[in-house]
Amino acid sequence: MTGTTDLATGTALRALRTVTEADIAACARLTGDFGAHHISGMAGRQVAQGLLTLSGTPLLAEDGVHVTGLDLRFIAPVFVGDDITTEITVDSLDNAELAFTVVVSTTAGEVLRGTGTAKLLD
Amino acid sequence: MEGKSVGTTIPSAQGPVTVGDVLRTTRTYTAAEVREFRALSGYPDSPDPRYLPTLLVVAPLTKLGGDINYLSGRMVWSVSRPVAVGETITAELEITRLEPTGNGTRIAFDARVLSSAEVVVSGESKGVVLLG
Repeated sequence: MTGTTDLATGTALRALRTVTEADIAACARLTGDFGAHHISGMAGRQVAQGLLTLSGTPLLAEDGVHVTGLDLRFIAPVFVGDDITTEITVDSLDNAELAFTVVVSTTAGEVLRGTGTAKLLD
Repeated sequence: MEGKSVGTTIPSAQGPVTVGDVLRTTRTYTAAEVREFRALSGYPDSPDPRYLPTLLVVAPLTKLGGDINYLSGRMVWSVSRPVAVGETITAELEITRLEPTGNGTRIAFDARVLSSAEVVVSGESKGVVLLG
């Protein structure tokens, strides 16, 4: 995981993961989101929590990054077993103020797209 | 109110709810839970985190969504300040719209996360409540 020191406008950071049943269970325990479509499944397949889909996004969970805003569109469900790619792109960086775009994709296409703002903390 | 369907209710973990009702839950995340979330996220361990990752700050809102089997289409949040590890936060979802459809119920919320009386997250979300 890349820190915040090398960020610049245009920087793109990417993370890959495969969503597992254990990930969904851990996310349910940590968030409290035990929605039936996550646990029992939808059309026979467990759906990842939105936060799990986002959780691997670089920068978002860094202790030195305060996310001040997020605007997210959930385009399609992510199912257990899906390989997801999470990419965050720095759209602007002015002093410690950051604007970014986040896109999550599976092999079938985009499943989540959004924008956000953040402040880099000392 | 535009889009409001008077009398429509949906089941929740707290009983049937309708437009104007507020779902509420409180949580306090420990350093161990923050470390576990970082591990789940694929981040390296941070033995002494100062703040909750923003996704954990809004996590109690998603717990409330889970209580009604909510599938989000859009979420918008504004976060006023970092939330410290160990700080008790209360999430509130106020239902602003319910509209039955063939496959479930379209729903919209105003969303807040508070620390005592201070609003630290405000936003809105809309999507669908799936049929059980």
